[in-house]
Amino acid sequence: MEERKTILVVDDDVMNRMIICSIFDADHDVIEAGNGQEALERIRSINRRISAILLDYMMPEMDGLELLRILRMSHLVQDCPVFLITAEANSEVTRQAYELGVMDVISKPVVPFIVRRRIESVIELFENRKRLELTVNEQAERLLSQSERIIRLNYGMIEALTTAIEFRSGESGAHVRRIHDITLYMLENTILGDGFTGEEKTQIALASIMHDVGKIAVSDTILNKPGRLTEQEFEIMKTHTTEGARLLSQIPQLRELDAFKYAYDIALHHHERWDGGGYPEHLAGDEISVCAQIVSLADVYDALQSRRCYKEAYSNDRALEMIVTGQCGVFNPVLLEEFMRVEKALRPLVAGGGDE
Amino acid sequence: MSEQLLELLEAHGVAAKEAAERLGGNCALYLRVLRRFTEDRSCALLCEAAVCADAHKGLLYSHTLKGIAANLGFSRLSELTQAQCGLFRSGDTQEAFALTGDIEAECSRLTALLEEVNGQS
Repeated sequence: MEERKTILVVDDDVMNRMIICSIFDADHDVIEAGNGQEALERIRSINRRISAILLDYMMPEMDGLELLRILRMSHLVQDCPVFLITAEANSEVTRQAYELGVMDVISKPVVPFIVRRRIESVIELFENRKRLELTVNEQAERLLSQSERIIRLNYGMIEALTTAIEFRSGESGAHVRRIHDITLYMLENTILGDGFTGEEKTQIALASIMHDVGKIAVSDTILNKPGRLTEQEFEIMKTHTTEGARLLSQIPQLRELDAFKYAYDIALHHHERWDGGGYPEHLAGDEISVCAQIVSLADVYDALQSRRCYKEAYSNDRALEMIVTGQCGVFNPVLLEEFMRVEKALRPLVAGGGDE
Repeated sequence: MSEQLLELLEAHGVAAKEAAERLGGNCALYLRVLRRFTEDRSCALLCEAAVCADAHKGLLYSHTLKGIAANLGFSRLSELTQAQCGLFRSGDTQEAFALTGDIEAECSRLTALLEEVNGQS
């Protein structure tokens, strides 16, 4: 072995230590201890890694097995092979030593070339294992960092796409971020979030920002028309739900994201209503997923309090009145009840800060 | 010179050649370790344990002597300490301590022999 290693020899007899040290001192740094207590002091005071411990069993002050127990409990020498070198023929001692994690038991009288071979082989094995672990950890970290970069890029692309659509509607892109925040708050603070894991809630909130992505397929004339849409124009506007779902399903990279199934569902169903009076599929009640229900309420809540090309911003009171009286369609009563319970906390998240 | 010393030790019942062989034929190291034996206190401590009838210490020092004897080729001492350790383990403390005299005598004999060897080396 090319590199000098540090080996700790623990034996109460100086002659045994001399013999063992003579085996290693040409190629390694050997430190000695006369008993378990001394060994602990050496291990604590040394500022370099110990590559192997050669341990006698019977010693005054603290015997080899006691030292092994302390080392094991205190994790003082993790990943360091320990060898019991003993004149003890008692198999119970050997069993206990192996149970306490010794690598090998070597009998006295020692045969130097055998001891050297056995110990250096194990040291080499441990060094290789450590190198391998280090390489695996480095690779895992690199992969994790790459995958985090990809996720950030995906999120960035999603945000860029949805913001671009909002700009087309004459908005700043803040609406989608507010929908994200309201959706996440509802999931985390109401019973509607029950049954979802933390990660699922994060994915649903991310998916919510893509709810209006289908508006890319709607012409600027309709999208930015001041005032009321004609029946025909409204029919075209309604296609942003189906077009959104179609668009999302045509992006292969998006289909691989955990958020995709939620994004697809939300884009398609965020205008459905509890009584079946929504569009495009006229789903009713529990046919509409919880995430689509939450996003549709969040969308209405924020849109009512925002200025749009076709209307001024309503006050918080007026917006709530319109929601509760069903002027924006009928919502799930449980959703409404939970929404009203936490609405005050949602005000800072919406356009105009809920008049506050 | 080393060869003669090994022969002398062999003549007095020490398996010196085998012990030196185990140390990779390093006679200098073997003789250096032998010198240390004359300063070793394990036998004296074993005798003290016998006086106090302290079986725990008796086993500890007998065991230490057993390891030294095996390493250095002290065949007779090795046999005696092995027997004594066995008796301590089986709980025959009295019989175990009864061997202390023989062990002390063997250690004295070896010490005298090693002093002679040291004088010649």
